Amino acid sequence: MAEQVMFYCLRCGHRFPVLHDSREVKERTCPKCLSNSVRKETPAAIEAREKRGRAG
Amino acid sequence: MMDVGRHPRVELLTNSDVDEVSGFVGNFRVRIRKRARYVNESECTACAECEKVCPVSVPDEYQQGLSSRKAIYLPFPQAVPSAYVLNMDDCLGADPIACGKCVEVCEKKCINMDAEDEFLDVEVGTIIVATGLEVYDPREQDEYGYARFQNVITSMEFERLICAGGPTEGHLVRPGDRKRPKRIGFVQCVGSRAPARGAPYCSNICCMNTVKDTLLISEHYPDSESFVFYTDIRAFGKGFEDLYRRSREVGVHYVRGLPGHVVENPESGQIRVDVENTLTGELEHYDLDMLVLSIGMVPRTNGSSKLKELLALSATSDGFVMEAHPKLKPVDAPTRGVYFAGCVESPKDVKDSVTQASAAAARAGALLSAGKVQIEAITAQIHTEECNFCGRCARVCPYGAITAPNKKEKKYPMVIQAACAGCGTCSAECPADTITMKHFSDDQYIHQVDAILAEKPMEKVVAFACNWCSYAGGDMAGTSRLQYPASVRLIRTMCSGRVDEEFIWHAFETGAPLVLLSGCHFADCHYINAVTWTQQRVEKIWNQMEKLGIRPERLQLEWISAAEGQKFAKVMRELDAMLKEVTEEEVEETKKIVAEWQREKREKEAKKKAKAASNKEEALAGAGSAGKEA
Repeated sequence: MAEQVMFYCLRCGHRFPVLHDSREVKERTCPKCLSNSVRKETPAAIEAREKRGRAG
Repeated sequence: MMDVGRHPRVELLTNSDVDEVSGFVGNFRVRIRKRARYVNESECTACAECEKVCPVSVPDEYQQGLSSRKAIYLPFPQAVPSAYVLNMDDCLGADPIACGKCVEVCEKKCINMDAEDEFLDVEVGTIIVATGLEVYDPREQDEYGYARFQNVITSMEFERLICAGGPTEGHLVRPGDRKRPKRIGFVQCVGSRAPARGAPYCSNICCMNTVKDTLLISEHYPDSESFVFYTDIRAFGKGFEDLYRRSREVGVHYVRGLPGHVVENPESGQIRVDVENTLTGELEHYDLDMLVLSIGMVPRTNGSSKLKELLALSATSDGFVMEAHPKLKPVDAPTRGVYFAGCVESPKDVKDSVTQASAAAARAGALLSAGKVQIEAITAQIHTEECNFCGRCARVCPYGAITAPNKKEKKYPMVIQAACAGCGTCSAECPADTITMKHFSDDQYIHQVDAILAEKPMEKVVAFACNWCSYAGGDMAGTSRLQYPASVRLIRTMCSGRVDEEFIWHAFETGAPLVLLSGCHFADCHYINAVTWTQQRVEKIWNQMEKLGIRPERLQLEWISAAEGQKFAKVMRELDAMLKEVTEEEVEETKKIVAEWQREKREKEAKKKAKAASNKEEALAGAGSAGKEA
């Protein structure tokens, strides 16, 4: 079942909503920088980014 | 069709389905289910006596439901073989109390109500897939009122109405009152070029079909008027523009704009169409006797996914089967020895279908007449001693070239060398590392990584690029004289699916600041769907990187086609900029983290193996002592 989830780009950091079906593997592109290095945003990912941000 | 039916070297199996396909190019074994026809086709003379006595009447599919047929019927007048067929879903049954009239009346006794499906196993060298397509169901676009108004019909229904073999013997009448329509409207692009409702692509034939219909109407009924509501008329192809011009010359009205509102007068059956003429910008109203919806074509749904699965075929985003190469191998399937003909590949007209069918037959004939096939040099090899029977290799192989293992029967997976295309996905996915690729071993990749990072690693991006798209994209950038930084060092792989997790972890462990994994776009993947495994693997690595406290940004993923030299150069410039953000401390920290994690992993694996070995020894010792006691 597809659900609206947030993805983020590992190239430019842009966050964007995507209709995502976990059973489906498809090509995804960042709408801002057109990179394919995009990843589903998870609480762990947000936490890790925030942590790195604080450390940085 | 009759020529095919009569040909001494063609065995025609109608009313049949493909149940199983195994084997590989030159040696396919196909199991065919020949559905019970309940009529002996070699005995039936199509005398029609059975049809006359059959009391059942159901809508005739061939005539688009515009007339009826019996439960026992000839599918269409030119059917090959020319024999009746009994549809058991419609039949009342053989029990004489229920019916059984056809059995009684058939003098040749060729009706057998107890017939069952037959299974045939055939061995073939090549397979041509020509399963066709379906038409769009216009009920979805309710504004045209197809399901509500009797005099709104589809182009397929119109074809039957004007056909001499149709329900009206070619006399054009409207379904509502069987009167001849004098003002006929055609709506183009119903279900085509409509991403929200219908298909996003152009169905190719609808424009010319409508042009042909309008000419036919003007020739047979000169007092009739035709109106075509269109977005664009696409009349490409030999003689088509001329046909379109002739249609305009005979007075067919072409209105640029699609109807927004259609209503039917319940008493007169007249259709009123409101349309915005986009050339004049005005809202126009047309009173018509009949409206024909020019419906688009959609990929087959019935049985299509099973066939795709059996032949390891993949589909493009529009649902039609994907060719091995859209320009250079337009009739070849990615699975060797399988070819396409007709609308299974994309919507096309008769001429294009015949052309493609001839090409597919020639390709198949060339392969068969050669008598032998040249196989890939780079193929997978399984070293069974380490295999844990997980079966992952067989699951991920896009070609079905690996037989599934069976632990109970001690049956190891086996690579069918003639079917293996050498993508290496199995090798990358094997958790026990038991699969190696001939001429492209894991060690060769590891050494390339080592060589790249041997000097000034902080100035390098380790990039894995697939041979067919990304590496070729780099070539394109080079031949186009596009500038990109020298920091990116490419390692060519046959497929991005070949890039083992271990190559990436090794790069980080050796001090790579940034790693790029690049492959074909999903629709261009040279190895059917191997690229999907690449993406899943990268996502897994990103998750692991995060767990270990390594920035996932340091592993980049990019799909670059062979034509995208510009994109290749852009990505390389972006990576060069990202490289400057990675500090030496971060790389050193990563090296330590990965080395520690890899060490722990190796220890765990060693313990696991030792435990498995001791269990095996104990089992053997137990069996030995039991033997002695006995």
